[in-house]
Amino acid sequence: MKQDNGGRGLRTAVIVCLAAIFALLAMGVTLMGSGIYRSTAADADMNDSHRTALSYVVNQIRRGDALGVSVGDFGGVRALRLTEAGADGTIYETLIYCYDGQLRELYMELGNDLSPADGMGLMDLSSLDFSVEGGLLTVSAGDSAGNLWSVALSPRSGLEEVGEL
Amino acid sequence: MTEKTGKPSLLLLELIIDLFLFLICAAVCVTMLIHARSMSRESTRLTDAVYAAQTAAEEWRAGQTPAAAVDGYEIRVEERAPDSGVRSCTITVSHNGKVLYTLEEVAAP
Repeated sequence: MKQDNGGRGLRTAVIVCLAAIFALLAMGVTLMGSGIYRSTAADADMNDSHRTALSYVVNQIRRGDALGVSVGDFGGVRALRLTEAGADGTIYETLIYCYDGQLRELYMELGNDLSPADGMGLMDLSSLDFSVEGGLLTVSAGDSAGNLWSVALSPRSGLEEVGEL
Repeated sequence: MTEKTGKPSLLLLELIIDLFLFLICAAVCVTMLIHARSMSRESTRLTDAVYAAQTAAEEWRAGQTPAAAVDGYEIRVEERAPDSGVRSCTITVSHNGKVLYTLEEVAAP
């Protein structure tokens, strides 16, 4: 009877141990899965946001650099200006910049007195910078984590750095 | 006596089988998660490589010499002999010796 009690105790201990191993493994796999999912989702989000922002700016430049590309300050923020002529000869400008945590675009007739806040918000973006060096325009987009992505372009119709847009 | 010890033995057997099945499922899940993580990294690298190649192409087109390495990505520009005045080159972006992206670039005279 004593031996039987001991055997039963051992079996119970093994059962408890197995249950504990099961619980620990389940917890470990769940934590690992959630960690990997979180990092994968963060990477995808990061890729998506910077790729979208840079692609948008690059395609806008390629589409609309007929009359030249200028870089300068617009109401205190760094902006890119693309100019184009309407059918009646009126000159219109497209300003692209980052303001209030958003990538914005402002399309207006040249000389209109609008401010950066009047632009249409396109997507969330922490920073957008333009620099001109050796005929190359470098566009840099940044996120809230401090990551920075850049792409360089050589506009076909010329590039100039101006003080105020 | 046999009846008394029968239940814990059955429970033990059930737990061992459960644990075994769980381990098989966990191994499959972990493999898939690691694969997903590596795919995500590859996607990030490919995105960076495309932008590095694009930047190198624009620099080459502007008459500048593209940088040989940017943020850990090696950039190789192989320029070919001009054909009827048209310049062309192949830009290869690699990371740790693995080719990620190749871009054919042409510049009119």
